Amino acid sequence: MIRTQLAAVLHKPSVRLKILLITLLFIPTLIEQLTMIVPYADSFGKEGQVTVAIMLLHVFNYLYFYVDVLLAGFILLIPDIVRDEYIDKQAIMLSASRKKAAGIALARIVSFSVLYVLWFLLLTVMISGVWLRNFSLAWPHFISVIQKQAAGWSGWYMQLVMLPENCMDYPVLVVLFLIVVRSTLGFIFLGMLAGLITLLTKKTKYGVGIVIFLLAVTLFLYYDFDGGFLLCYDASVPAEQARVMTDLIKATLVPFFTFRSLTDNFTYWIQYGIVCGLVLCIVTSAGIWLYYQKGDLDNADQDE
Amino acid sequence: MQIRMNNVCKTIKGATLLADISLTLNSGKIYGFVGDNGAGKTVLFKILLGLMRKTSGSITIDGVELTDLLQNAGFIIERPEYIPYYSAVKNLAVIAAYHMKTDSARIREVLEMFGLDPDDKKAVGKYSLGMKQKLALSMAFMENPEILILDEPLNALDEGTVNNARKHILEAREQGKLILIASHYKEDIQSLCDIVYRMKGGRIVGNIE
Amino acid sequence: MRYCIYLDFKRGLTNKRFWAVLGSVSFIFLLHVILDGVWPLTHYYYGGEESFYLWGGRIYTSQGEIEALSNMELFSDFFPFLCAAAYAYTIIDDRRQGYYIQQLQRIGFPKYYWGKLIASGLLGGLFGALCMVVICLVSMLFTAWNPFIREAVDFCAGWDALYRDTTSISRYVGWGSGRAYCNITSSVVWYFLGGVKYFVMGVLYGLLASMIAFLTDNKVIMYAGPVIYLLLQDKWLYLFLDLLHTVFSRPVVTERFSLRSGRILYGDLYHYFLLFFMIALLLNLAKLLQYRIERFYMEGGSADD
Repeated sequence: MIRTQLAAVLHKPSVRLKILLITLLFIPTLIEQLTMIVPYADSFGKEGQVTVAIMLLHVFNYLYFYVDVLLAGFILLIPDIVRDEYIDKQAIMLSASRKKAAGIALARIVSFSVLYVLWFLLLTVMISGVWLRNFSLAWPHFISVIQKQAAGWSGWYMQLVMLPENCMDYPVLVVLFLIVVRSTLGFIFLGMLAGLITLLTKKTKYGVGIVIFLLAVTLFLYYDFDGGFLLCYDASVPAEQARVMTDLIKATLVPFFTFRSLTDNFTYWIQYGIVCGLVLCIVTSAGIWLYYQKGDLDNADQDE
Repeated sequence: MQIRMNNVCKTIKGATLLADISLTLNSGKIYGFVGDNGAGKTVLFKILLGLMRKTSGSITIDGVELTDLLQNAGFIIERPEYIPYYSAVKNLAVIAAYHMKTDSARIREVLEMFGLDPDDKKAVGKYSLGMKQKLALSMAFMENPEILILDEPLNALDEGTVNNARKHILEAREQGKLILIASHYKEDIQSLCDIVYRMKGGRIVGNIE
Repeated sequence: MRYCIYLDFKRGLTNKRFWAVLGSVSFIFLLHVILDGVWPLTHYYYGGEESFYLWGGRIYTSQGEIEALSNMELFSDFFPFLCAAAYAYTIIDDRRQGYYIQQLQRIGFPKYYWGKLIASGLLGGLFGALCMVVICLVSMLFTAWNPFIREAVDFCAGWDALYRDTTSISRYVGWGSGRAYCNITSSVVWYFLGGVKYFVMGVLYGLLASMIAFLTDNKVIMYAGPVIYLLLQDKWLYLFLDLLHTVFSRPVVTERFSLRSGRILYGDLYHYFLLFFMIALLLNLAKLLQYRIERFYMEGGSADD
């Protein structure tokens, strides 16, 4: 049943156009990153060698990439994944029960988010592998050099490749898996939140709006405050201030999609991202489930 | 089959959409619902389908309380639902894939029944209003359901198709199905219905047998 | 035709949505100014730690704030979206509600089409220019009371002297900041040029959004289209020029050919040239597609048909 629904969504001309646009955006952005990372790695001399593994870790762990490509694309697709635009009532009635209809709605969001991540994972492997002619999945040495530099830093420390200390304690595939799981959970959460808000307000635009709002808050805090409020790179920032800032950042979308600083503890931040993602997914899916059991399923709007 | 509604009420944000609806509906009959716009006909149908939750009262089907979606029902509510970029056959195939009890022969049969060409590859989005209504009727009849809930089923249809559709609705009654129809057209109601309920302000204010 | 444009323009300007979007943008600017200047200065004033709070406050001059606000990542990323929200949405609303038929029957398709397109461009432009006005107003109003204004001005003057020769602070009008014809010293003229630049950019995005609205009849694509277009052009142009090893260096490519306007581009004639070229291209494209869109309208198609 879910396969039929997914196929109907993927056949939608507007969905195909959106996926094409996102892919067209993804490819040059990835190549742009490649043209930046290769000289960056070269600056480490013999230690520097960019591999597919590092590109995968970089792409799925770089907020700029999410904001400009992956999240922008996901927001475009939200109206198509949160509900069946055309045969909403027919699909619900044919589900046989409200429980099953809720299950299909949740499965639809989850499977679409997973497919979305997998598609870009595949593209990253293919494009960067061909570009670099290096499909190695080993830790490059220059990461340890960056981490040694970061270790002597007391404030926040940011570099092009944001892989914080002690990530090299784990095999590269484990780190990659954890990072991909974390961002997939982020996408699922955003999809479910948009779905829940759409159900509650009966307007898809509010579902899309809540995700844009969260993204705007994240951008606002992460990028636009280099003034007095968030002198986060300055080691002389009072501890109290730094803590407030860290808490604020933790409350945004940042923990799903990147690390705050190279001086962060990898294990702690990835745990925080995954656990938060799981909890939020459970809470929002419970919300959707409850709505399907108790609420009116009659009229989703036609505004998108 | 018997559907019994006892004092069914529906209020949204203080506004009463349905008040104290009590009805007994039996198989093999066609029930008509008439009333002005906003009288509560569509809300009543949605509550019966289980798409909307009632605020109070009870609905039983053969003595069993309806707590979920109504099973084995075909319907048209508010507007025809269709995937605009698929052909008519593909549209029905997507719907049929849910229960997997309708084969392609039945899909062709039901489309022909309401005057649509099963070999037409044109996307439904390009259909006229009347053709979309024919598709909606095909969708409602496709799985041979026990209950048919039809909100303005004969809107926008040409005379030939109206007569044809009436014939099929009457045949369905002969087969022992329970049919509910809401319409603004006296002729539809007079020629089809066994019992007609008049609704006003969310209440049933009278019935004619 | 002129009357049709006037009617559409009036409709957009008197719609509360236009002003609500401008209000939301003003709120974001206000929030930024408060957190960037008012908040740290107030803390410092009431005995907060100097090393932290004064640093933020002392660059808190109206000029500094105007530059910070107009360079906001959030603002530049969402700018095309905001211009699309100025008027282009009415094209889809009218179509969905069938209201367009009433208009078409009275004025014919060409007047309807060009009226909507040009009004959308003008309203997008007006929205852009108003953003600059809001930026200036918010910055000036909230810096007037700064008790450390003298220190702030001195600090900025020192900062300006330090970086006078770099493009980040210099203000030029001409063909690129490196080859200046005229050095602008008056802030008023400079911000006026900023307003003009935002107007031209707004016209471009407004036109683009209305074209997308006519072509796709899909609100999400209409709102997101200009943003995606901006990103696509940025990335692909960068990629081609980089791959072709052109004479342009990377920063020149990303700045000069970008459709985002940073403050250093307010007087850049290269950038104006690019924007006018794009607008002319779009208008030509609109003319080319007119017949197709007319057919599409009369036959009742949509993006998903």
